[in-house]
Amino acid sequence: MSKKTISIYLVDDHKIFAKGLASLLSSESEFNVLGFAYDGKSVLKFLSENEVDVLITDVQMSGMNGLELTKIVKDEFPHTKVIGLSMLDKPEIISELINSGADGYLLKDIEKKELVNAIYEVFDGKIFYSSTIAKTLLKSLENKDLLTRREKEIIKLIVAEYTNAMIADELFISEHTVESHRKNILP
Amino acid sequence: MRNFFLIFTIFFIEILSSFSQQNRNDSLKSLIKQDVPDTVILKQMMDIAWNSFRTYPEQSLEIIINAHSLAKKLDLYIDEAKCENIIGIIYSTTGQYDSASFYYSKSLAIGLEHNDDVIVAKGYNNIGLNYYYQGIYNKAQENYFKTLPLYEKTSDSLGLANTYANIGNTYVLMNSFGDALNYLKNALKIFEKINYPWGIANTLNSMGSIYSDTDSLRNLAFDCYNKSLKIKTTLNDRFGISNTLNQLAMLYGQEKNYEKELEFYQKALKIKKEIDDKSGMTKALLNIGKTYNSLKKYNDALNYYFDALKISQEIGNYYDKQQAFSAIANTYSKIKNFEKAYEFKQLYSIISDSIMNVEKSKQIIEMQTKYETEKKQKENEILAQENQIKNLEISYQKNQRTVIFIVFAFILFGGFLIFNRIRLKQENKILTEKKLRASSVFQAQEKEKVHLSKELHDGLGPLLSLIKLNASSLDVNDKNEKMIHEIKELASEGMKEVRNISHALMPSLLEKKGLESALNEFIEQINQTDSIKAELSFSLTSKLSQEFELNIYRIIQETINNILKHAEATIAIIKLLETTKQLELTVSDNGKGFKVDEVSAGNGLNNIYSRVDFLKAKLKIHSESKKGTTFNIIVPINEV
Repeated sequence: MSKKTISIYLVDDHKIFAKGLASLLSSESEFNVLGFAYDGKSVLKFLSENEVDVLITDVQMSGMNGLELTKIVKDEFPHTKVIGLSMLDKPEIISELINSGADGYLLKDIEKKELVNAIYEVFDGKIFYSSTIAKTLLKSLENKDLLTRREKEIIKLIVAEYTNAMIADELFISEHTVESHRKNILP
Repeated sequence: MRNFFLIFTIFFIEILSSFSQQNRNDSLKSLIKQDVPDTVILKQMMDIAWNSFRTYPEQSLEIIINAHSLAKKLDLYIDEAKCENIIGIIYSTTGQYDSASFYYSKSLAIGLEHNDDVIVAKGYNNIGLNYYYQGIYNKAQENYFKTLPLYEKTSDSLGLANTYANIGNTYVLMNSFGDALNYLKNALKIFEKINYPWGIANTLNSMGSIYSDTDSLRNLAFDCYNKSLKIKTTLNDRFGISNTLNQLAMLYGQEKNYEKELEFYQKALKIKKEIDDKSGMTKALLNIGKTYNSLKKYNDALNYYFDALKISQEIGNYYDKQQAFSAIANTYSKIKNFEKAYEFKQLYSIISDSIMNVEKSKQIIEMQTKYETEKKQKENEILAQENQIKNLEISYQKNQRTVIFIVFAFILFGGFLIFNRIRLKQENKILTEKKLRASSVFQAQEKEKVHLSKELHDGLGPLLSLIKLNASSLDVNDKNEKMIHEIKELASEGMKEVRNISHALMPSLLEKKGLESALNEFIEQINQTDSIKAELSFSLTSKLSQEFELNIYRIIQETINNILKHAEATIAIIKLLETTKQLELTVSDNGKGFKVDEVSAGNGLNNIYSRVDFLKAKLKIHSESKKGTTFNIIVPINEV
């Protein structure tokens, strides 16, 4: 974990939620919450003028939705990490977000601890999704024989909330390999 | 044969010229007097329809439909396709997108049959435009992309550039600004290469509108608009000039350069006045008022707002009137004249209500027109058949008397058709109205459900999430540990409940991923209950509208619910099969069966009937005691 403070920007078209989440995260001493917006366009404007480490975006927004926003942010501001927050736990929609280049996906049904942890993880260049999400993905993949044995082992450990390093230890492979496996698991 | 079309055309041209002051019909009349070939007459009919459809859409439609029959008779497939495109365009400009799409597809089919790349490309392009007008952008793009290789193959630079511009403009509305810019730049390059000033100016305007949204790119926006303005000035396109001046004014406004903003709005206003574009004048006046407001010159602002109000009242534009009321009310409240402010606020809310009502009745009228257009089309087919018979008679008699006789016969025949139509209409009226009303209530309910589902999911869900997040950030001690845990659990339960209710109202996957995904999910849920084993076989390739898919989904949902409630079955099989322009849905079970005519239609069955009616589908129920029941529904895809 890095010791530098992490600058964070939020976007959600639900105004109370955007404000509430911003004030919640400001209480963490290592976070510097730069502000929040209610739509994608304003985010792009803000990013063009400010350095942001982690952007937390709602997925189903009116106007430009979270997927489109993520794609543009990843193209134009590749150093900014993106976490998607959503009410929806459908595997089809989760994989679409990951495909668009997001670094994390969290269900809105989470605790603060998990959100804070996610921010640190993606800031460190890792991919993160909450345990509920991982379970949903696992269920949807169980019946399909699309994953290799190794990938199945890894996804089970992700569900058990292992970090990359812990998975690497458990399976005697390098952390980098775990990372690339993780990327393969999500279509 | 040919004579018939001549007479027909003269007949309608007379109607046309009674409206029109132009006398372009003389040339046609003189052609008819001489012995001219059919092809020339066909060409003339097409020209007349094309040149007058904006002013006389109905008459032009009649002419072009007849030209279409003539082209068909003469076996000129290129003209046939052209006529179909013109028919489509006329329908599309009058908002009848279904009919437009029908004719565009016909033209496309001709192109494909004859391997004619030019026709195929035009067909896809028009279908794309039709989707664009309806706001279905992804489908518009799909069709535009299909034209690209064709234009490249036929090295049609103008077609290629137009398509690039279309794609770019659609991306703008889809909020994909990067992609939009790429395509617009490509379009611009080609337009410049082939020196097509209209294209260059329009593309520059689109690019300017993208740049103007970002502060740092505003200089580029100025560049684009200024270049476009220059081109439009050489072309003397005054409508275009005034619009670009407006955009430039807005740009200055964003820069807070109010003097320049005013200057450009005034320039735009002057041209709008010269070309008598009333609606444009209103908008310019409102904008000038807004600028004076920013300059805190409230009395000047009021003057302009009242001018705008006057014109909008004159032309009866409700939206502009609404804006003027609101602007006047706000300005009065700024100069602390609260009595006046209140008065205009009242006027504003009255007009807002009436706009809402107008919108609602518009929707109902739209449904009625859809129904009547279909009817008209059928009658045109009958007319065309009768024409054939008449033609045989005419070919025997060539002298003037017979011509006059036939004109009379035609008028009589027309009278008979109109009489017949009125009679038929009255007979069907009551039945149709009933059905229409039932299904429009039904569809309104459906819309409300979708709305409610969104409100719940997007409105209440995040609040519950925030409760949980806040509870989880509290400091825990022995006293409050249990309670905090309880709060988090309750918020979680609340979120699950919101998801379940909103999913029952509108399956989110249907909206986002389409029918197959939604049905798979539904089957999975059914199978999890262990009461029945459900299977789905899905072979559908056509892309269908969301409304259509939702209706199919609901029919299946309703049928399976009926099976779960009454059938005592262990297996249910759902099949969706696509044949040419038809969708066949079969739902069968191995339950106890029922006697179809003895079962009173309960709520569930009634819902199915209403939806079947709405989709203009045919429903057959086959049920045998102790052997099970089969629902078979055949839905026409084209008509939805």
